[in-house]
Amino acid sequence: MMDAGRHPLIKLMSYSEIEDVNGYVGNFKVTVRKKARYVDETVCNSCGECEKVCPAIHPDEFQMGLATRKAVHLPFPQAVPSAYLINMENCLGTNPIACGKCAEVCEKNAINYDMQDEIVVLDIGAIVVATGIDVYDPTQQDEYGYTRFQNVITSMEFERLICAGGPTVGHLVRPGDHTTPLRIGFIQCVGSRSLRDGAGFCSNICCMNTVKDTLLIRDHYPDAECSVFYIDIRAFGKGFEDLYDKSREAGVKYIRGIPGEITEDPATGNLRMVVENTTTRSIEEHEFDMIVLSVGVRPRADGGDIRRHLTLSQTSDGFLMEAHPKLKPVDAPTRGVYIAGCAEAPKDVKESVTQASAAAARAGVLLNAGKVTVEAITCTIDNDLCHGCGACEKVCPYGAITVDKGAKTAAVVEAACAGCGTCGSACRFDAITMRHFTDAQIVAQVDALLAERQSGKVIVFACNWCSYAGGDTAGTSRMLYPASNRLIRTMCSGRISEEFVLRAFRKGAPIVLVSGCHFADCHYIDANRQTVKRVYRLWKQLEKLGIRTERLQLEWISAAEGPKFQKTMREMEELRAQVTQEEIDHTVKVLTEQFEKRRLKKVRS
Amino acid sequence: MEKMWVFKCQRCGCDYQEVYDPKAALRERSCPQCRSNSVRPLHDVDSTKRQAKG
Amino acid sequence: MPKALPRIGVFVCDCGSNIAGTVDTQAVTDYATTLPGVVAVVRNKYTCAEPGQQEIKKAIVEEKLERVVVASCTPRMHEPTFRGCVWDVGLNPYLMEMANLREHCSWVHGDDKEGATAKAKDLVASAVARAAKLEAQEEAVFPVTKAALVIGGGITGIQAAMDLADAGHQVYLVEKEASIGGIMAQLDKTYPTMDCSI
Repeated sequence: MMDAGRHPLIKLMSYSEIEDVNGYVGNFKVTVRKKARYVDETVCNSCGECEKVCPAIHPDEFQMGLATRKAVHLPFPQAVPSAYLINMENCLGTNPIACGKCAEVCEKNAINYDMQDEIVVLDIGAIVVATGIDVYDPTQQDEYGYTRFQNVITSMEFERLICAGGPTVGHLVRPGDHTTPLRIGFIQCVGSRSLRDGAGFCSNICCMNTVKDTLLIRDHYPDAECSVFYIDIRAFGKGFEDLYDKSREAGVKYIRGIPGEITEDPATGNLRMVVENTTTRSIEEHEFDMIVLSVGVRPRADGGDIRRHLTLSQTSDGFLMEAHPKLKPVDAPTRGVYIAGCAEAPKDVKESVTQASAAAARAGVLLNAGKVTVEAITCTIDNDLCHGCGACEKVCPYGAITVDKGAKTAAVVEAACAGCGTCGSACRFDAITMRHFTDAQIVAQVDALLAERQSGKVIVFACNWCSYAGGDTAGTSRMLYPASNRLIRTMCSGRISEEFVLRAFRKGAPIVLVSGCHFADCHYIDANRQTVKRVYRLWKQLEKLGIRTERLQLEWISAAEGPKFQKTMREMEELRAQVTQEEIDHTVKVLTEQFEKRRLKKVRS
Repeated sequence: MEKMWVFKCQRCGCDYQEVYDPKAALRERSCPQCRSNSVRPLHDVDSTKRQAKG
Repeated sequence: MPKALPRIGVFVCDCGSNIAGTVDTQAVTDYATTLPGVVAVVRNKYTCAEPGQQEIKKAIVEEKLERVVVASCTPRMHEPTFRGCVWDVGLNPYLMEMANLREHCSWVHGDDKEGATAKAKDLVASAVARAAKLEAQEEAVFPVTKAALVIGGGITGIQAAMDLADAGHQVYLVEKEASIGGIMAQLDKTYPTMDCSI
């Protein structure tokens, strides 16, 4: 921590948040909000005089609320930067009449109540996302009485109680009566491996953390008895099994079974539980002085902002998704962005450090190269055909297109264009060409797929990042589904123009599925909103033409949703089987007539 | 303006009502019965009433 | 008069038994020869392996191929591989197209060999039709700003920032809280070595 704070090449921006990210690989513009600390960190020498006079007392977050801090405080003794800050929500008031005591005693004049948030814009080549996790809050699991019984604590609270730097200077006491607990129970998997509590995944760290805790207790208090209630003990890492053995040798009891409920003896504050020991197949009763809930972890509740800014995806459990699970484990799907630590999945310190070094190395590869090639899939505009209508400018998520309505022209900034293609689909005058995903190329695929045996096929338009990748995930997991679907890949579902869908129906497709990313996952900010609008318009048009609207389907499938891809493809096959040959013939006839009419009109004009 | 609309699921065929504003930013929708995203806004609830009266 | 079709080569991959175990790759190979513009079709055990790539390069030179279709796995996996392969012998990387016979076909239709083979043929036909319309593209090259941003100052962010900075890069370490350290700073000891966390 200290080293990071004083490294000449590291600019530490604490108490700061990412406001916005623009640009692209190698050339990001990142807006950072440096929140006002009301204490000048460059001047503060953390003498602590301010804290002594501050009258506003608040629970100390660092000590998990087991101690108090003042409104003006140092986050914790070893904090980096070693500077105080004022939490304005706790402060009595900056008006000198209301309080102002801290400013009076500060010899360095570091306290400035008028300090404002500062906005800084950074030019960045590569980004490492290491946003971490939240610790599970067991309040909702009321059967363990976390909020009702004082002597039921979480493993994070235990951590502070056993720590020499904690509120009790390392003396383990139970919160109810400040006596040293000699019978301590640990309940594992609280908030993990339980779909009822919203997380089916294993939090990875809690088993070994409890093993560690039991050893700390036995080390500090050799008389203390520890019992651990578990589903499985997952001691899979280097040196883990040794530590687990040590804990058992030290006399810690490991009981395979999770209690259903904890009750409190109001007279003593002791805690009772009944548990089925699934090893001995017997019902056991236990009484403890204190119970530690070994809580799991959760994806950060505020992780959505960063995900949106960087157009990252998340897996079904809410952690960040890597570009490839085996071959690109620390690359984000967005080029120039790398992910590491618990933001990717729950992991312990060693694994976090390993992954951090991997991400740093990957970022270093990009920075050392000094240049980057951008895929040639951006749009080009033919100003001979452009009418200056502005439709493209309106739908571009990146503001890459500027239209001159007077001159009836449009211009695109290639470096800003990400190649989603939604402008190409919005242009009614064929003035926009999406390189490598041209109308001619996509239409050729539609025609080839529907050259014969049309009635047996479902045409699926799929975006590269999510739905096509979801199909890949289904494949990697060998999830079987009917062989009737035929995918056409575009970079974004925003590229799927109404013309492609109508063409598929005109060529005899019984069912057409338009698929893309979930709204939160769209890799082109919000280009897939245009997809929805187009599908709404298509449904209306099909209805007018007397074509069953159910034959056009829409589905959002993320790259991780192999099962949803499989389910959707099965449903598509069911829908396909309901479409009769007469129906297809009728559609082909109606749409061919419409197509011819439009073609003639175009030729005449 | 946000109004109660009648939606029709294009997958399972069910009808349901949900708040929708054709002019506002879209949000991700799915059928309350079959979870499909193929849900189509048909018309606002008031306009059916009007149709019924007319 | 319509423009003459470009000379297209199709490379069907068995992927060991990953594809060939379900899809009749010989039937797909035979079918590919009938497609418009196709002048060469080669079936390989592993197209991505060195011998497989050599076959592609050889055919590009000998058959004067102008477009290449690789019918193997997902382009999300090996598109860069095959783009590099064709570029080695001077064919623009954007003139290479892939048909996904593995993730989207053999691996998901293991119970329907006939259906999988029919689908594989369609996927190849679609890729060939698209290939005929492909155009060479030049990739734009942009400079990279020599600075890294690390978001999050927990143990992971600190380590990443230190590594990048030690390698000589300018690093901005942005932390939401007033101090770096994250959850690790709150821990007493860490397993399995029971050493201090701060």
